[in-house]
Formats: sequence, C-alpha cells, structure tokens
Amino acid sequence: MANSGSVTKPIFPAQEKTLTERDLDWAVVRKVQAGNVGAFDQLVQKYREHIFSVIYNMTSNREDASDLTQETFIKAFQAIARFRGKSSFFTWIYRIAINHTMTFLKKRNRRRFISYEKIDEEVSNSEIFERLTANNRSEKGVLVSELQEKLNDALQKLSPKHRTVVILHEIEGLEHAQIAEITKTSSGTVRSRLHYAKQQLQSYLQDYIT
Amino acid sequence: MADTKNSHEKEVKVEDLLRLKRAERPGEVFWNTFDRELHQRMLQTLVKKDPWYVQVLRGVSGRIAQTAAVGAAAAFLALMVMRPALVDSTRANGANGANGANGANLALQKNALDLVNSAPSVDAAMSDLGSNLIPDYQIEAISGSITDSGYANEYSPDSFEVASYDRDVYAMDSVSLAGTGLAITLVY
Repeated sequence: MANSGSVTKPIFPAQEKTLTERDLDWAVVRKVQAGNVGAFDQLVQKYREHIFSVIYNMTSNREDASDLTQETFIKAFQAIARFRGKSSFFTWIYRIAINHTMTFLKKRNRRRFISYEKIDEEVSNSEIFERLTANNRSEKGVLVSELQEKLNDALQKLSPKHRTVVILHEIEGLEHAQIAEITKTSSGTVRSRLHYAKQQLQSYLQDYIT
Repeated sequence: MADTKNSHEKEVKVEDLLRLKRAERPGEVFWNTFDRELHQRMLQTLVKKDPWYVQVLRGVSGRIAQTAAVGAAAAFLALMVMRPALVDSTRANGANGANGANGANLALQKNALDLVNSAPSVDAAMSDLGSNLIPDYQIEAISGSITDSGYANEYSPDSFEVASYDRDVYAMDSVSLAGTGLAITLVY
C-alpha cells in the first residue's frame, strides 16, 4: 500500500540508482535466459505495480489495466531470450507496456466504463488535500472522489502521447532522459510534450489550482 | 511578507494534483489474484498448442523435405544408370589398369562391372533420358576415361562427359561418387 511518503517520492530518482538496478535486473534476466523460469517472478514482483500504474493511468480502467499488465509480462517473458541488455530491463518492460497499451487504445474506439482505484486514505489526509479542502470549502470525502474523477477525465482528454509523458514524469517520477529512451524520442520532445500537456491539464483542472 | 509565504504554501499546482494519482494503487487482494492469473496465463503460453497455420506450415515443410530427399535419391539412381559408358571405357583400359591397381581397386572395378551388367544399356538409358528431358539440347558425344594414376591418387575423380552443348550458355553439373573414385560431369 502506498503511504503519504511515497506520494512525493520518485520511483527512480537518480541515474546512479538506475544503473545499479540495471545490473541487478540484468543478473535476473540472465538467470531466466539460462532456463531458470522461476526467476522471472522476481522481475514481476519488482515491476508489476509500476507497470500497472502506468497502464491504469493510461486507460483509467482497472480491469483493462490488470489484463494489459499481465499481457505485458507475458510478452516480456516470451521475448526475454532476445533481450540483449542494450537498454535496462525497466526501460524495456516500460516500452513493451506503453506500446501494448497504445495498440489497445487505438483498438478501443469508444470510451468504456471507467473504473477507478480507491485513493489511499492516508493520502486523503495529506497536506495537499488539506489545502484543497481549505480552498474549496468542500467536505473532504466528496472532494477526494470528485477530484479523482476530474483528474482521470483530464488525463483522458490528452492525446495518448502527451498522456504517456505526463504519467511517466509526474506520476512515475521518471526523468526526461529515461522517458525519451522509453518512448524512443528526444529529451527535447519529452519536455515539449510535457509543457503542452501541463498547460492543457491546467485549463481542465483550474477549479482546483490556486 | 509572511502572508506571501503563507499563500505560496497554500498554492496547489497541476503537479501536486497529478502526484495524488500515485496513491491510486490496488491492495493485496488484487495482487494475489493478479499473480495467480498471471501464472496461469504464463503456463498456458508455455504449453500452448501452435495455431493451425503453424501446424500446416510445419507439415508442408516436412513434405518438401521428404520430396527433396526422394528427388535426390532419384537423381543418384539416374546417374548410376549413366555408368555403363564409364564401364565400357574401363574395360578398354582394363588390361593396363589391372597391372598397376591394387586389390582394393580391383574389387572396386568388379563392383562397378556388376552394377553395369545389371543396368540397362546405354541406348536404353539415353532413350529414357530423352523421354524425360526437355528436348532443347542434343547429346553429341559420350566419352569417359579412367587412368591408373587416377586410382593411384587416392581415387581422385576422373571426368565423364555425358553431353555437351554450347558451354558458354549452358551450365555444367558435376557429381562425384564418394568412395568409387568416379566423378561425372554433365554438360547441357
């Protein structure tokens, strides 16, 4: 479960840490490639929440996100013999997840019923909610569900490319260079998309921004 | 001054709102179900039967390999039919060759002669060939030679020209019969 501390803590904060993670992941990947299929479970346990989070925020649907996350890991498992470690495992698996979700979103030609995850109670007691409650003078419970709906709506109004960048940077806490590697674009493109997406979100969410 | 600082602290930015989404994470029950389903699906992919088109492709490729093997055997047999011409020349040179050849060579030649005796005649072989091949070339000559030195040189191949027709245009195929010390060159 997430706590209030994890709300502001980036998942992959520094390049050095990523390099270490990269080495650890590569060792596990080598085990899987050598035939230790069970070792793949370590990678699933490590990345399932991050992958689910990205896909969930891309689709705004819990069930779709669950299916797509599973399919992402199955795809990775099927292709792991061809993984040569040119990029880190996390870049590779994020790329599979995003490409798979993009394909899914293209096929999903109509908006589906949106099912949200519940926002953790500890977070609803966080400082940001205190500030929001003070500014909006609304009841906290109402505000939480209302804001959750508005946030998801706003994200869904963005194009998938802009949504991806916002999710990876603002929610997953990845750096521009990491996002550029995952999306196979330049850091400049990432910055530009992020800037545009934030402007859009600002206009959609202006009732909550002070 | 204090009011300004206070108002900054109370500011809510887009980034702050987006970070709240980090808290939208499923609980343990969800992950237990997720793990169970994922393991089931991964096992299914491991033991999954190939789709029908892959099975058909595999069957067809097997057939092709089988046909190629039969074709190769037929080609080999067809070449063996050509051997009478070779053996005729062997007979012609037999007296000289027998002097210098060792026991193994003699046995080899005897085997070749046996095969030739059991094989159809040159005319019959050529007429069979004529009925099977596209008549855009003409057999001009059949020649063959086996020398003592050829056998002495650890069965180095001798050439056996079955037919020739405009060498610049047509290709030449060579077949060497391992262990027999013979090589056949087809020019067409």
